[in-house]
Amino acid sequence: MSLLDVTAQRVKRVALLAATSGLALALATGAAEAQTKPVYMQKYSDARNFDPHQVITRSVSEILAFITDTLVTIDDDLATIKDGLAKEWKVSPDGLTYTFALKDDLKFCDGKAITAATIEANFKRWMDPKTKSSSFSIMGPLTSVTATDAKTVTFKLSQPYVDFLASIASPYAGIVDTEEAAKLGDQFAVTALNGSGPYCFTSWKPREEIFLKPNMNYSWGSGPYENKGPVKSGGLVIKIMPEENSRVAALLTGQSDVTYYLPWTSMADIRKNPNFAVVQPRAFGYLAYLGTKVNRPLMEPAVRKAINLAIDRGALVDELYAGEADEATSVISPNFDGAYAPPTKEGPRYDVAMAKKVLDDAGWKAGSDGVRVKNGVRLAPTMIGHIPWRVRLEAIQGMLRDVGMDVKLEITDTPIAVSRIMTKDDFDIYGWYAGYTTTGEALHKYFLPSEPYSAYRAVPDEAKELAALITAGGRELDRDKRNALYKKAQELISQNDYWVPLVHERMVIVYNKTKIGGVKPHGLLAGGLYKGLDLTPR
Amino acid sequence: MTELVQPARRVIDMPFLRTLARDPMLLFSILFLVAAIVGMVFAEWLAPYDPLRTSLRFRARLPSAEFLLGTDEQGRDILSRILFGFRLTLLTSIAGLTIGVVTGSFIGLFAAYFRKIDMPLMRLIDIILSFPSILIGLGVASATGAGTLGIILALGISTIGPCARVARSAALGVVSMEYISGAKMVGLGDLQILARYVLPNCISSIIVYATLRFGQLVLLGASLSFLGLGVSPPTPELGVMVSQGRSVLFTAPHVAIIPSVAILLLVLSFNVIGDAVRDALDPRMKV
Amino acid sequence: MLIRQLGYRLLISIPVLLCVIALGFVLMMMIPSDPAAIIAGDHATPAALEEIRESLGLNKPMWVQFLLYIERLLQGDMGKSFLNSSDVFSELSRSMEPTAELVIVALLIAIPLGIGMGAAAAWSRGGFIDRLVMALAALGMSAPVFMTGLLLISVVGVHLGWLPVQGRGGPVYTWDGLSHIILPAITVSFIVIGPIARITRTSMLAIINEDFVRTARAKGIGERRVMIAHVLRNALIPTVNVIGLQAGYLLGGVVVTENIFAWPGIGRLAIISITTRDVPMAQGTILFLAISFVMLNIVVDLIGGYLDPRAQRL
Repeated sequence: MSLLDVTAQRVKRVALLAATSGLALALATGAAEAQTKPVYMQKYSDARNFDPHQVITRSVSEILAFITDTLVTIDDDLATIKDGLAKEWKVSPDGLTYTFALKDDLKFCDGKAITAATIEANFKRWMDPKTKSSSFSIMGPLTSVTATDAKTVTFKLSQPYVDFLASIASPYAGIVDTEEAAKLGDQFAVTALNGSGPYCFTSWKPREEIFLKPNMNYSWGSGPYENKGPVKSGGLVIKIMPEENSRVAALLTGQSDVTYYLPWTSMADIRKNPNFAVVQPRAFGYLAYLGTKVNRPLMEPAVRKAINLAIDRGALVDELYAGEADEATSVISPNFDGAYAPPTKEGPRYDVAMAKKVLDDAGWKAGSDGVRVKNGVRLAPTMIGHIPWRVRLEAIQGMLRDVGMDVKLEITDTPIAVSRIMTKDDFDIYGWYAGYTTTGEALHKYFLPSEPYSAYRAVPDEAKELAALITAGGRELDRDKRNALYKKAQELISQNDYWVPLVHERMVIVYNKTKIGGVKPHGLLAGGLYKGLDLTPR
Repeated sequence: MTELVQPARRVIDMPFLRTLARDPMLLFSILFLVAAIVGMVFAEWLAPYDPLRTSLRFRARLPSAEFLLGTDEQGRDILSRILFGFRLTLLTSIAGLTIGVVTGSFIGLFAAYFRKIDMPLMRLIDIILSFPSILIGLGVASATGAGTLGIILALGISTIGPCARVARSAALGVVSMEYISGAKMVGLGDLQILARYVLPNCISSIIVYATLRFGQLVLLGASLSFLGLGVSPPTPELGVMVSQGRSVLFTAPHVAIIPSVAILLLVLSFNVIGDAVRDALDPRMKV
Repeated sequence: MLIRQLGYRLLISIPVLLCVIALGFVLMMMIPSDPAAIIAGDHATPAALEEIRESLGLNKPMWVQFLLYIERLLQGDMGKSFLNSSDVFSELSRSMEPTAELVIVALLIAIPLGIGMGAAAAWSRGGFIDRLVMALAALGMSAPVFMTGLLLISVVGVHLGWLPVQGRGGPVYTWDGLSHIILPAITVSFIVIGPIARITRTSMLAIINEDFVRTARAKGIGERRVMIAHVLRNALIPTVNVIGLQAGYLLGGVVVTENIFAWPGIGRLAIISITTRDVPMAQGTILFLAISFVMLNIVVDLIGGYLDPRAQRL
């Protein structure tokens, strides 16, 4: 071999070595970088604080699953219970006692140990009237929580409660550092929150973004995820974007990696885009509905029935949801065990002629301007809602106008709308969401008179028979008997037209597959990413 | 006999027609404004559809033979809504302008005439002037709640300051004239002097200011409505139409753009005509 | 001399500011809403509402509340936001920077462009360029701010996909920051380009015949140098004045632009806090804006006075 050949060989070898080491270095740095890159998410509304015991809105609960863990978790079929902070649990045969055994090495974000005493303190705080929680009712007939030793917690109920485990999996039962809560007072969950989840509440710029760093103490893994240890990313950056167009733009330009808040009309284009993947959980209960204030004079049975007949749900689904929703003729989606839907010719449907007839028969005659009048009173109800519902409610306003109702629309920001819906009686109709995990939960939450969002809150006497059916169902451990009771309850609900079901919404999660992986769709309390343990940037 | 008639007509018509011919923008502006006013006055007859009638299945359609300017995000005919929207826009701006100009002129004239209250009055005006129109608009509209009244008040109040200054300037020039002191010596009352001598000489300056201001008020009113401080849906109003069109901006931009262009053309026409009026009234002020 | 002027101007501003605060306070109190309900939010039992009202001092007479407000204001405490109890003052200070950035970049675009257009128009003196510039100026002054913004978003942002259309990127000297600020800055600059071009053209046309220009020409200095050196410098004065006059419209344009582009400045904060009835925050933003406005007027007056001693007046 000539000198030239040898040199050439050497050069090639060196070049190969350089290239491979360069590649290896790049990959390693890339991998290391991917480890420290955060995942970018969006949400559409801000919150006032993130205290699990004080909130009942979706905009907070979706964050709670990241920063707190619960005793058990629930899979995306909203039925299978899996481990959480507890590794196993026992139920007594009479269904009144639940015993949970905690895992080892449970730690808060700051390293403090989580023991059975911690769990007891959390539930005591939740129960405490001074905490003023309106979500505790999901725990049903819970009477006591006791730490029987360092790793065992016992729950006692006054009656069997079928949905007990599902309720314990709710983000509202998230475990936090109660000592910190006592110390920080009203700054707790605003400036700091020491939580038990895979992510730590690190910083919150109101109206702009929330930053959650990985919890490096997280080693016990929860539920339906492969990753059992700390998350393999630089954390979660959640940008608050109330403007629809901003959210779409952010996703398309790569500023956001994942979202479930896209406007439905842009879904068709997103589905065609090869960079994006679209996933859905196996179960999701989320009803968009109109509630009526039944104690108001204008909201008589004929008017309520007419509203249920005047709305073209098909048009709403086709035009506003781009087909990505299902018309709702009942409160609970047919995909859920125990759900009931009225026969097609009886329940809510689109029949303008019938709506007009119902109003005519009830004495509402059309005036010269097209608006119906009865005994000198114009059929001009007030409808309220929050900003994301604006287009939807205007469409409904137009549909009701076609049958002679002059609806006055008042759209406000979300917190104001929520407050008004729950505490005031100076309007007739409101638009809102009903999220649920099981049929039983939906019936308990929305139709027992004592509940804040209940349709019967203002008329508890009318709900005696209904309440009896619902609570009996909640106690009934036999599935068929329970469903029979629930079915009767739903029949009653449908006949009264207290609610105007609109559509069953879907949980559709879009993510940029060139930028992240490990997206496991979920639907619990409309938090599409649930705990996000597998989220990894590429 | 015939020669006597013709020259007179030519003297009146020719300078005006010549101006129009030389300036196509002026011609267009006059035509557009006339069309807008006709459209607004006869909206009930001219509008092809009910501006409030929604129809979800005809949502956000592009202009076509059926809907000349297309439909908005609720399926309403845009052309019909613009015709009715012109009405609200013009009436609001005129109301605001009137309130502002009348009040401002009074204040300015009084300040110039009664020298004793001049200083405190002008300081007060300074305060009002310090508030930019948008802040007045935000404050008023948010206090009275969203609605037309709030917008009119915002437009009016924000006009008082600058108009008072203009009126005062003009009046100062007149008040020092000899015939004013002469009138006083003769025994004429203050109000009579103000009404008969001061005001007429200031009118042209005030009118010039008003024509300048009107276009700005239309823009300001549209901005306040756009920000959500004006009428609520479904009442057709140009600023609100643009704001609501944002919900379909990515897929159907015409819903937001068409009413914006309508506002643009309206203000442009007014500004161009206003310029011409100013040139006619006071060629010295030609910019 | 300048210090005395500044001092006098600041002194005059105090009663103005007091009136602004009072007006703002009165207007906010007139808003028909229940702050207690807003704070209580999700869990609002009547007892809870009463408690909150007590703690906010809402049951005291109006004038007492006003005095308490002034007292806290003097201590730098502007209250807590109804939304999430965050400190109003610190949020306002955080929002000032993006707004200032937006205005400065917009002016950096508008002033050279406006003066350039005005100069070109004066140079052309009745020719095609003159009429074109004047037509563009008229267009710019008649176009609503939101139209410019929405058009830019629709065309440049969505259809061409060249630039991001919402929010703020990093610092301006990074590509991320720059790409985010361009479209909103252009939108805001449109408001003042027209008036700047017009006033530059007028003053240049007026000055062009002045004696000192004729003298310079007589001395034999080239025509272009004449224009640039003497005429331009003297054209800057009315530009500064016109920006001062246009400041009100500029502010309005900034508020609308921030709204459209989700730019996290004071304008956007003002609108959000007003529409969500966050009274302390809304009061705070209006006050902040009013103060900035007064300060801006003073600065503009002083710059104008500095550039042209003839225009100095008290």
